Amino acid sequence: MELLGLLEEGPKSVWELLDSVHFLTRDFIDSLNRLYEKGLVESENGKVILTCKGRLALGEKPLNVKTKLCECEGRCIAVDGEFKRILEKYKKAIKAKPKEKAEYLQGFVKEEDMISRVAMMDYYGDVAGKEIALIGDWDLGITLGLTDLPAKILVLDIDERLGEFIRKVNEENGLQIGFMKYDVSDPLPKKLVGKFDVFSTQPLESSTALKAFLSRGVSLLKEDGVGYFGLSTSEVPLKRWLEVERMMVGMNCAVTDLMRDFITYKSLQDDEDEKVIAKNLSFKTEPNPGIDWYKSSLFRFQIIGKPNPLVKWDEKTDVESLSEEDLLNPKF
Amino acid sequence: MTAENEIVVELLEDARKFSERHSTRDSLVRVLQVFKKNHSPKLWEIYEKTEEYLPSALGIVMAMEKGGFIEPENGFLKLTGKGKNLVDLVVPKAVDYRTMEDFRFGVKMPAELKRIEGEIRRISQELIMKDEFDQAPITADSVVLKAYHMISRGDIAGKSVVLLGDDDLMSIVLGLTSLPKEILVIDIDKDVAGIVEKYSKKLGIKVPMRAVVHDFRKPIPKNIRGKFDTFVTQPPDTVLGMLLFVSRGVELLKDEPGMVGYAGFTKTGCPQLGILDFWEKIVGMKLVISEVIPKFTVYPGIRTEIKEVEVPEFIDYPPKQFWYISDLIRLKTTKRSKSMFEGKTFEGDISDYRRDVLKYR
Repeated sequence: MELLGLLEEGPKSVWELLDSVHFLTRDFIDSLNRLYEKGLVESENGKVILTCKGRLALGEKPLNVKTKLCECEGRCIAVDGEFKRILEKYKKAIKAKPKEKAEYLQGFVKEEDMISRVAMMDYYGDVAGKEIALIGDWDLGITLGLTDLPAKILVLDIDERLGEFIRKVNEENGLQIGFMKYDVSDPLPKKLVGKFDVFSTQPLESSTALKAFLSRGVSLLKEDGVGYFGLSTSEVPLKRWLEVERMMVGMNCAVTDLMRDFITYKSLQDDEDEKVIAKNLSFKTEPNPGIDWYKSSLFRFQIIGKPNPLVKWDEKTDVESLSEEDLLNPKF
Repeated sequence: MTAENEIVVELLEDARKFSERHSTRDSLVRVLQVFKKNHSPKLWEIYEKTEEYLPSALGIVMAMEKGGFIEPENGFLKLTGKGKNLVDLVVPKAVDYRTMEDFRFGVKMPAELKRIEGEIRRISQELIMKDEFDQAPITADSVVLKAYHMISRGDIAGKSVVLLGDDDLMSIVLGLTSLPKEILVIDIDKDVAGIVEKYSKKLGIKVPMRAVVHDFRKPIPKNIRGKFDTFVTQPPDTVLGMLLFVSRGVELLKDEPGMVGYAGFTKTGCPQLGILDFWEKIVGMKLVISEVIPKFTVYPGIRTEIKEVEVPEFIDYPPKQFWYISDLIRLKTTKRSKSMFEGKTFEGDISDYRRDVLKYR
């Protein structure tokens, strides 16, 4: 019904529909295929439209109330004031960033959203004078660096190319962002454990990866430290959301904020996910014209008392990069 | 130890003596951030702008007064020269931008719903709030915004909606949109149920709507269990109060994954350890936390929670401004969701704020 309701507003491309829904992309494909097979929707000029049968199935809708986000786009944060200047500097700084690598499942967050993330962190006093550790999330590291507010920034990432890139950004902008090559399946270097006020990550979304990324983050934090991470509804089923939230309380982390769709990933050319979606639809669809439909909700949590990571800092752990629900999983 | 650290340690130690609970340096920074923007705030502005627990922030203010960092004047907490130095020393610089204070809800209200706000304001004047039921309706604009938010999430149109407590008249707002399939109000107060019944007829609301009187300490009657898609509640802000209302909400929802519950939840009224305990029990009920939107729902100035805190004479009391703002949480059921109080009668006081103060030190 949700898809039919969206189509009542007019014809929409598959990508526009994906941009508006909040359930697994696999379920989205199944639902859309079912509606098509039942004759409730059809495809016309690359767009999905409601058929007469689809309209009848919708029934009457009494008051037409559509969501209108304010100028903050629902994030409760505006990219203005000093942040406009930082946004421009950030765009310039990342122009020569390394191309996303499929083997590391790297994505690229919309530039404006990076600024919103920093603004939200700053609102909670989690930026100025703070020692901040980032697992992956190198782009947040650069944005934070450009504010000139944190006491220390350290990026831990498996991709060595990012270390070289950060070194260049540091040189060009007079920054001191640290980099360390690190694989979350490995134990953490002892010297980093319990040394940071704030941590952030955009983890891989399999169960083992979430457990590893979040445990490592918690291990890096001091008592009462604060963490941020993103989680999607596109590739993470409700069951795993619950699993993540159980992990959080088990690690003494209280969720303070959970903002839906706070982080938008940029749609990339020749996106592998999009090829899988198009291939699995029962009808032909147009290529994505550039709609940024993949989003993550942003969690903020605070450790109440002492950090209690599920995977101890000195333990090695197995990490699966692809979950069952991942669009790139060959079993799809 | 640097001079800055010495001052901070001493202040936090004094704050601990006053509030009998541990305050962190971060808590102090957040309180001082309010002073940085406004050199003479009232205590209520500190609560409005931060997420500090009631006794903790009050402890910091008392320590600041004792240390000569502020001088109370007609309810305003005026920063002294010494206080200004402290702010400069402790509060780091911040970037200039507009944030949640300016965009509390992140949505634009459509005119159709804005009109309903006036209606609610008028009707609510007929309700006399009762302390024995811990009643405290949220402001009319908050009710309408909350309704709009729930509509925008797809949780109201065509849905069977149940309201656990309705002193803020959410049922009337939802009824006037004609969107829900049906609405059931359950309230302990027969006057609330009466007003809802009266106005659903008077305003010609077409959505099937009824109101029943029930005490949530008792189990949910069998005939209404497992019938609804969405529940909405603003429970008492004690950990047990919140858990009881959410549990009863789960009992009312259909036994299917993906059913939705909304609850108000206030960090100002709940100690940190209590918040962790609350989340632990929520995930223990196999409920997914789908959203936590900070500072969403505004309450009028008078709150029962403040009765558990000894407010010093120099504080402007009772507050004349909005200061108590709750977060909005959205929960989703999974296949295995289960109420923690199912079929059980709850013995005890759900509005025992003193219990939380003592239990979660």
